[in-house]
Amino acid sequence: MLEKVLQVEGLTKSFGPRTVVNNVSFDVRPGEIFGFLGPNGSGKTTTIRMAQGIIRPDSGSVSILGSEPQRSVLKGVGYLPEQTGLPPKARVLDAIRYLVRLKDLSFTEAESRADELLKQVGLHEYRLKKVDTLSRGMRQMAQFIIAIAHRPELIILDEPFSGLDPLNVQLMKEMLIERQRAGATIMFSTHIMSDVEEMCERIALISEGNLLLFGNLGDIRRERGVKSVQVKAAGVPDDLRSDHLKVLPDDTVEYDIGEGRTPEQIFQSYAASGIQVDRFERMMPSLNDIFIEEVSRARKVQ
Amino acid sequence: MRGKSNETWIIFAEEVRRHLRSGGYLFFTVVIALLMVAAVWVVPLIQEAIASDAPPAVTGEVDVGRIGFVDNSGVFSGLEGQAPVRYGTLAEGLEAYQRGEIDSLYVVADDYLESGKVEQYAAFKTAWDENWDDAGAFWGLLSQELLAQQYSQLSPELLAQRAQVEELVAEQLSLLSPDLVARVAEPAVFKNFKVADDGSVSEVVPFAQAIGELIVPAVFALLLMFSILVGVVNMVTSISDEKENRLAELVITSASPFSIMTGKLLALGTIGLTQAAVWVVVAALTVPAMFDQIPDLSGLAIPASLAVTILACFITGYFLTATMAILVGATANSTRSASQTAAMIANVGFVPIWLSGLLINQPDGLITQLLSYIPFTAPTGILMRISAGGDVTGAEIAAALAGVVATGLLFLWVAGRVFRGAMLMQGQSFTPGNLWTALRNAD
Repeated sequence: MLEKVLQVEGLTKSFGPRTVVNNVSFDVRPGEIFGFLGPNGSGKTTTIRMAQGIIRPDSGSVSILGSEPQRSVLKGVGYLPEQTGLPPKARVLDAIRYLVRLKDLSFTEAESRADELLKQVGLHEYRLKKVDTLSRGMRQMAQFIIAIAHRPELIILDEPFSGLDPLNVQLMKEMLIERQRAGATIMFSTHIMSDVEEMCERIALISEGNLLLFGNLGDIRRERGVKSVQVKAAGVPDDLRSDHLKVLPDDTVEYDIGEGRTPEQIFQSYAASGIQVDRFERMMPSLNDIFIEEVSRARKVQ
Repeated sequence: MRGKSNETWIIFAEEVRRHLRSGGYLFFTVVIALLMVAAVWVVPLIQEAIASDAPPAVTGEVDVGRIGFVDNSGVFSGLEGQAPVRYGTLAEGLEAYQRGEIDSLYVVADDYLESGKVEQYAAFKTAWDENWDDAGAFWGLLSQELLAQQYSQLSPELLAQRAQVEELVAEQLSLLSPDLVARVAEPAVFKNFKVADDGSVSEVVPFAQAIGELIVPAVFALLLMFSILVGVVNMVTSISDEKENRLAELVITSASPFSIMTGKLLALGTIGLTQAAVWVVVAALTVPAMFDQIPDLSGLAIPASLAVTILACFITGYFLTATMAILVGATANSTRSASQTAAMIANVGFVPIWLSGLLINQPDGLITQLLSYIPFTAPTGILMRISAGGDVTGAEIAAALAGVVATGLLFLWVAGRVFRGAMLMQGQSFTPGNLWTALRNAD
């Protein structure tokens, strides 16, 4: 079994004078759902294309399913491009079957899987309609079917949830988890942090082509320490009444940590005041906080 | 290798399906076929219209009293007092014409017996109007008068004997072999042989066959170009669309550039030949019916060698232009610019047709020969040269078309690598330098 399903090392790519990916390295492990984060225009799509050999890096190396990105290996990869890549005048079933057959499935097998998945995503009644008659979300789901129909070992999705309504987002997530349970590895790019927090154990974050973070999401959050403390209690101790206090809708009070204030000090204040405490929770920074902080810092540096 | 051929087949099938569902392709195929069918009815109408312009004949319906003439020759004194009105001078005749007394005025030249010259003055309302009715009537009058003058110089006895002899001859002839009588009426059906300056002898092709050899290649050269135009624009926009909408990204990770290009090329060739086959079948059904109605073409024959040449030019021409289209589609930055360039490259094949005036006058001239040898113009150039009566040998045709195929194969190889290279180098515009890089790096 491979230790790393995808490994990129020092990938760099420039378009003219602009370096869009700069010395990026990360890896994806078998069976995981990996989140590839970054703001718009950060170089995510270019990195994904280089990882599959669609475009050539100026420098750096890629190992995908234990090999260089060559066609024989890429048959085992399912890819959902950021921009829908379906022939607009083709019928939905024909378009799916065509692209799935290119992944070495027979006509019958490709059609049967396409049919089955179209039913699963609620597009079966559109199978004989032309692609350009579908809504953006429907096209995205049809494209998603192409990425998973040949049951690839590695599924790479570029902004998979964009253009989808919440029901379809949920459906796609469930189908991805289903594929993960069947042994597939999944990597997807996004700039929506809640999706990553919900699904991914490990992440990479890039901005302006530079890798800012890479690793286990829990570790990354822990490294940043406790960001605040939330206390649900009958009142607020006098010594804690300050600007660093925020009252949440359910009367929970949130205290920012820093400038000499520690969770332990806050706890001791409550204990000393004799106020009854129902809940006391150390709050880690959210991925959204980390994202904004890291990207803002990187932009300031540049 | 098996995988490659399978990928090619899948791409081929998809392209064929896409083209067959394309409105433009179906429309063009059906419209040409319908035009051929319509021609079966239209050609006889044209033929009828042409027949109405036939040489003069006295119908008896013309009022010869409205024909005037001036006899400067003095030969037609016998016409004096007859229905056509005699005038002393052209000026008098024209005055009568302007007064509306006559519809046509004929002036017999003073050297008429030597030259046969007669000037005709009439309305001539259109460019095609030859005033045949009045001209035919006057022609008949002149003829009758001249015959009368001839016979008036013979003795009455001789004329009576002539009548008796003619009666006897007619009686005897009715007893003779019909073949002999027919031969007497048409003593020779000529078969012509051309003797060249070097003494070599070659048969001069019969008129119907000559028409076949002239019209058929020219018509097929035109059809080839129209077929190519439609197919090429479809192909270029298909490739460029795939690049634009990222479909190419999915395909290129599953199939080799060569498989993609070959699949597309075979599909384009197949749909082009299918289109041509439809036209040929419809032509086979309609053209004989059409030619049967034109007396001189009822025996039209298309030699087998010509049919083979047409087919070879069609296939190779399609192949080369399609590979050029693929190359354009691979290098184009947008579908719009690809379509414009496609129309330009498809028009290269039209050059021999544009220069048909030159080709007809100099079917074996230097430019004509070059057009039939240069790969980009050879398929239509050869057909147009044959059409113009040029002396094109089988070996020349074979060599020129081999050049077309070789150029097509080279383009196919380049197109495959450029298609791949264009994506590998995404974001960079094509320059001779990075085109070379693309060719080297694409796999």
